[in-house]
Amino acid sequence: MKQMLSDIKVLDLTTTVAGAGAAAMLADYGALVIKVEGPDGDPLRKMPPFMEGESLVHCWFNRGKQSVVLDLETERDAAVLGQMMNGADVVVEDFRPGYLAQKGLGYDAVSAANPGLIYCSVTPFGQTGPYRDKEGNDLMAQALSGVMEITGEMDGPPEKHGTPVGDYAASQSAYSAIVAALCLRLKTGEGQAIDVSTMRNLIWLNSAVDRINVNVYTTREGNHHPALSPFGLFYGNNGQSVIICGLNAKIWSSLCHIIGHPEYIDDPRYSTVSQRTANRFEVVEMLETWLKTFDNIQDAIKLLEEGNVPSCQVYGAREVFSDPHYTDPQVGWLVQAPTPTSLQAKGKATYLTHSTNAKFSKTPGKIGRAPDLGEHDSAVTAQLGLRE
Amino acid sequence: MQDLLSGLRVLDFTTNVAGPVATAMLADYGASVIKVERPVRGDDNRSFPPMMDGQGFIHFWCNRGKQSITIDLGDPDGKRIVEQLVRECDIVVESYRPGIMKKFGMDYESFAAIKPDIIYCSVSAYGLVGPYSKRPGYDLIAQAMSGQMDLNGEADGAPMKSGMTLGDYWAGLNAYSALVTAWFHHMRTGEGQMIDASLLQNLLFNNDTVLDYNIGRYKTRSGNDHPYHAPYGQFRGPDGRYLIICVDRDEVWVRMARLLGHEELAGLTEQERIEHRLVHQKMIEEWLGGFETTDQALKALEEAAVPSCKVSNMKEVSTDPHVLENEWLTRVDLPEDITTLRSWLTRNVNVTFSKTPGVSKPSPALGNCNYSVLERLGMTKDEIDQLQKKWNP
Repeated sequence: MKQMLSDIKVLDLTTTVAGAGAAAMLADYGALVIKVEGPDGDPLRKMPPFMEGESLVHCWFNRGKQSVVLDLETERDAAVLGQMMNGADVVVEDFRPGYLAQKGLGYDAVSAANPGLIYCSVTPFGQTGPYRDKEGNDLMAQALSGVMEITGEMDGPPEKHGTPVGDYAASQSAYSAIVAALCLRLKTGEGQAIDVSTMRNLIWLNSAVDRINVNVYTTREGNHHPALSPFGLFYGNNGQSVIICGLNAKIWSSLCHIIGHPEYIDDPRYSTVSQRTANRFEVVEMLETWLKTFDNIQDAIKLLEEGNVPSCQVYGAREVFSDPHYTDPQVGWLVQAPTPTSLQAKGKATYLTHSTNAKFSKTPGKIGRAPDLGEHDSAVTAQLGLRE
Repeated sequence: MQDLLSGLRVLDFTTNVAGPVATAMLADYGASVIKVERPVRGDDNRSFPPMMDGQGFIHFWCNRGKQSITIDLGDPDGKRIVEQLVRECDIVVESYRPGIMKKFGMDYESFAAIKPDIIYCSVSAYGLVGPYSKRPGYDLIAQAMSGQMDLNGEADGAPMKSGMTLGDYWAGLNAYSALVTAWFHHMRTGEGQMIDASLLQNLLFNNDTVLDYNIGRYKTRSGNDHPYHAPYGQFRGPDGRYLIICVDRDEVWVRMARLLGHEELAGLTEQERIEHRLVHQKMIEEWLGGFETTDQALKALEEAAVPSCKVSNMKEVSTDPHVLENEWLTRVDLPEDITTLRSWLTRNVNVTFSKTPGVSKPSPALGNCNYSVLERLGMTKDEIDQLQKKWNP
């Protein structure tokens, strides 16, 4: 057995990044993932950015999968899907709640014929409740979970996370739920239905919700910690900024020396955490004045590091993808992975992308290639004993 | 019916947020989790505000469902106990700064010598390898170095940290996913191994700007608007609250145009809607100004089947009918030593299973299972008391 999820057969009926991402993680760790696409293909194939005609979104979120084409609006193909479900270990789907059940392909129907089936549904709001039939997306989940309300400047509007954190966290929740269900199935032979929702996952990540128990209703606090200083984001020149986390007296002392103001160490306005916090805007100003004396903020960070002040540059994409640490083979977080066949033919055999989400010492995962539309039609058709 | 992870035995050395969240999820779904805490102070998160009766809220949630024992890891007697416990567990999880567990003689190699099929997961801020690994771990630094922070905020504004300690909590979910994968593999093959999971790697993994990088584009923040749908983003309501409107296709735009009283614009293509984004934003906010409250405007949008919702505050999240009906928040007992409240309303587990639901359980008072766990190893109550006194003079 080469990989951790070898021999697990997954039917991927997804069309969103949340669902597709979950199925892709199963493929990363060796599961056989068959993506069932409509005649027009997975909508992800049409999402930018494009590299020579291929969607990189499709490349990443459909990595390592096979592809068959079925038109679920036809009775014949719906029946074929039913057959495929009979032989599968896992189904991952992200249709509107009830869509598959309407076609006799919901969990209750298919599990009768395949009691070991693990059937995972991924939607913005879940399979039950007042929002069940509400159309949704990651942005709405961010809004309804409270995570937008608490993100942004103190005197500014709520801000979404630029990354669809709801969708991506839902992927990991769905993936891990499927694997946990597979664990139980090893013992009992039974599968079950799993209901994953983006909104729920963001609430689950949002610890501010717990504070309602003491009537604390968190809102935006900007980039500086309300109870600690200096602890937050500080501006330099040329759009550069740094994070400084100065939690204790030793670090404050070091910082004052570094910025050339040792007299601030014992200055009653700044000598304790609570004093610094009370005067934190002055603290911010003194540190930013110093930072703005540097053209390249990395020079400032070098000095901070030498003084053992926890700090870093706020990385934009340019910094992330030029940091040698991430592509270092020992670290291996960013890797070259195979592109689809059309790009292979054009001489662009690989693209830079992520490695698996964690590192395993004995059975590492692998980032596979995204399939062409219907690439595995004949193989799967033959397997099912169907004839055109 | 068994739980998902019934029979799984976890020895938990984690502190703070990321590691404890991972092991708490194992507890949610039925694993037995023994939390090894430092005597006297216990997990750092026991003193993170907000606090109640001397214990931190973060601890109540992050250490739910676990049994607590207090062990001095630097003491040979403590080490002996740990080694006995390792023999009887399947998974070890730790979240110390890289190198610390090795100093205690409790790294993967040491434990694998005792139990060759052990699964050993390190949850760190920046990973176990490389120049960043030994630095002090901060969620804020992981958010910054992963490029995630750069993606939040207005186009002409500062990068914004997440209002959540996103790095910490998400790393817990990520590590949990790695753990169940390794456990599944172990169930089928008997093979254990070492897992390296980190805040920084997980945030990086979930940073999709790597895709744009491949075509020479360096993507950055652009406020709350969608890159290729319009109008699709956040709007200010008449009462100062905010709402989300998502027009992502022509048929929805037709309904929106009608609602705005601008039927003549119904035929605009998406490209045209993107070009007129700012004009339409003004139009929408004017239309919103015709209502007294954001809620009223949302009702009109809902009736016109335009995907929309409020930007909820924490109170609204906790009273949201969808949250309540689905019991995404649940009432959990607080430990006996907490007297101000005897239970609290907190977040329930992250997904729903039809046959074997998980459940958020109470957190342990410090050392609450010293007797039950250590007596099982053959120690007497007196011996246990003496040892605890030695570590807590």
